[in-house]
Amino acid sequence: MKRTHFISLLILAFALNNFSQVRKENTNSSLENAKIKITLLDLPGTNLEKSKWELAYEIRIITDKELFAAMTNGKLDLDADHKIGEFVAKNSIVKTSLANKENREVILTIPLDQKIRAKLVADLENLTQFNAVKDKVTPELLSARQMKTQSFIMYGNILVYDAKLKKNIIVSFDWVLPFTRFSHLPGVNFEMTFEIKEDGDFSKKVVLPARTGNSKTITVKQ
Amino acid sequence: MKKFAILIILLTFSLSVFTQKLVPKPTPKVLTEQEQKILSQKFQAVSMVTKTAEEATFWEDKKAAVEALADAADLLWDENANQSAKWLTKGWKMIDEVSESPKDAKMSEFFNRSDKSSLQSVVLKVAYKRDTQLAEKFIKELTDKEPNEKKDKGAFDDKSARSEQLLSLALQSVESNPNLAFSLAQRSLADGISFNFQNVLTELRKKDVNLANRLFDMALVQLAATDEAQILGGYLFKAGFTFATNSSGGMILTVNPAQQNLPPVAQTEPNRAGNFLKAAYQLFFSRPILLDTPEGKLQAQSISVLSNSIFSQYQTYAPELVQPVRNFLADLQKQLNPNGQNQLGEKYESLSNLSKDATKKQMYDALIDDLEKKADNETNPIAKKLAYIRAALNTNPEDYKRGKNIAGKIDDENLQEDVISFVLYRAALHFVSEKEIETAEELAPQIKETLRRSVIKIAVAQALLQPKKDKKVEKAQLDLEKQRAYVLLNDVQRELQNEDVSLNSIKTSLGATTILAKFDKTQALNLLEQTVQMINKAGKFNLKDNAAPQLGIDLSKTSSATVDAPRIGFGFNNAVENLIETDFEQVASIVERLSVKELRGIGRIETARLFFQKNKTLLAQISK
Repeated sequence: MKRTHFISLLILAFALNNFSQVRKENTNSSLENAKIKITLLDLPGTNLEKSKWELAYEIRIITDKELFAAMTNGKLDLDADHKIGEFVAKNSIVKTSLANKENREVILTIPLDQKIRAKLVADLENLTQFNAVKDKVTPELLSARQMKTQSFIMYGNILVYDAKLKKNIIVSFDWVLPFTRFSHLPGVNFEMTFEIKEDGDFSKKVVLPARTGNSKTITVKQ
Repeated sequence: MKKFAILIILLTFSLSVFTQKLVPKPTPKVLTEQEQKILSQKFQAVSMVTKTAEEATFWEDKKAAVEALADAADLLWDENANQSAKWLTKGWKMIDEVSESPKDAKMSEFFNRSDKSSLQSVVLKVAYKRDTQLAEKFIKELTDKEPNEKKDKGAFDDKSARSEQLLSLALQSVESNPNLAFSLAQRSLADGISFNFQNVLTELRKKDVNLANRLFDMALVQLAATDEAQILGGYLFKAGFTFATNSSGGMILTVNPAQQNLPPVAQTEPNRAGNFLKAAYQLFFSRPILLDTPEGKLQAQSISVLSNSIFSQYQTYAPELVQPVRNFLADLQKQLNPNGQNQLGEKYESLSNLSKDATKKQMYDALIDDLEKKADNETNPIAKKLAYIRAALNTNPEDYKRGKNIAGKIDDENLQEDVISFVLYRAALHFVSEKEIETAEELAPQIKETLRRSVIKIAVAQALLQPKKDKKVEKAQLDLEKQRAYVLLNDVQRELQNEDVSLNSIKTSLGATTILAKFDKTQALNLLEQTVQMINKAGKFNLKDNAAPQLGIDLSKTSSATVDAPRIGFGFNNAVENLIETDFEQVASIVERLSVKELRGIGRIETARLFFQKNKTLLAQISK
């Protein structure tokens, strides 16, 4: 009896400890919204009046389980008929006068309703619990953690008209933004950059904050 | 005694000289003025090639250097085999300095061929043509150096570096030496049945049916994988077509246009077709498949793709297996697509509502209606633009008015202009190929984009200059058409001067030179010189690329493939071909003005190559 009580206390302490962490995150105003900074770093026709860029995106939430199934079934693509996950937001923006650096940057503020915030908190809580026992992790625990893990998935297109190249360029992306990295960057939660090269090729990059320390950068070059 | 000996030697010598004088010597042929000119040009051509080969070893662009050395060796082999073999060996060694990364990373899922493997083919081709022992030595080096299985293979890559080269050589030799092609392809089977094996089989069959049958039988014995079955199935049932599975299990297809209209081999080889289908059944359609791992799922998908491409053949060539294969496939489909439903109904309303006996025209109209409606209903602004582009591109070239109307809905000035210009360009080229020249000429001024408009004018000019089948056409009319062609090409030359230099503008300029050279050599030389200045400005250009300019829509990579490209030749060789016999020195002098040394070298070699080709008979006569 004593032993059971002791374990219960331990669990309570563990839960309270993690709850307080999560609560702390929850009271942080950044949790009310997700902020995503998107920057068009450069393009050959930056200074030409006719150059412009347009962004259209859609954000959804998916579990790792859904994501894994979609990837193995080849369903993770930009086709509107195949989009997976639960809808969160979508919008589009057009920017001209690109010589002005401000017009090559945009910060998207995605309002997070109560339901999404609850998911976010649950995921962070689950992560904290998992981290606490990660030295004794078993394949079953790991698998359970993976199945509970959730992410934002951002589908989008950047359409650029470069007046110097006299060319329309489209950059498509479907980036997975894990919940677990949500609250680690000051000011914004995620950051993406695009660049158009002299030959009309492009590069795209998403900056995911690391769990601790410096940001981790994943570069995708096409 | 010594004096006596000297006297005898002197006597012998004088007798010998005397005897020689008695034998009548053949009178040396006096060369005509034209022959003397050709001979002098030949010395110039040889010197151009030699100079380039010597310089090439110091070029920074190793790819260009290897090509130049191989070309130089081939061109001057008859003049100096030793030197040519040294150039070829130097080129072969230099290939090690060339990158192994794929030529086009975006196509790596399909083909992963590197510059390195292409250069190996270039050198081996010359070696096999000129010195088989040297070629075998190179192949052996390749086998010793390269691992058997290629890493990061694209779906349509050959199995190994060795099989890639052997099959490439087989393809090159099939026309002149089918037995050699057979032997090379047979050797490639050591690494499995490669993608190009199908091409070799098809080409070999044109030359020697028995050899092709023997080669097919050898391959069938070692059939082991679905990709190999697709290659043999393509050969038997649908020449020129090969199906495969991509990394996510989807079906992909490659088509060889030169082979796609050949009758199916299975019709004349029903037993072989039956044997193949039985082998496929035993290997792939009669064994249980586990879908619980990604690898298992991918294997199931590739079996599903294979079955879709060959199932209909069982009815004709192996009817006893129709039911077992059908049962197997039904189970497989259920496993792969447990919630299987007809997606066509959701996406294509008009198309799915058509009756079974709908005409082709009704199906076309319904498809375009559906695509347009889908675009109308799209809420994402970029997706909406892309959907309109898709609908406009799906219209038939001659139905350009409909394509133009759909493109008119694109809410973006630049994109709209690009798509409308493309739809008109595609239509005009279609009308040129249908000999409706006036309609094409009417459309040309409506095309706002300069290069597309220029290509139409070049195509129309070419059509006007085509020899007339009706011999009764009056000279006055022919002169008038020549005049029209001249005006069109003059427009092109003028407009290109105001255009930014690009790969496509250079190609367009070379295309115009090609047509102009047929009737106004002075003007053609003038345009060639202008093109060389454009190349210098661009700083890089592939002088050996004769393909038409790629003038598709920026946002649709496949759009340029839907164009009926004019059969002109937009390369340096095409532009110079009709000038070599009359203006060799001028062309050689213009080539010297290419500022990039590698381009100048390749220009020299190509000019010399054309000179040798055009004067082959005359040079042979002179050397006799």
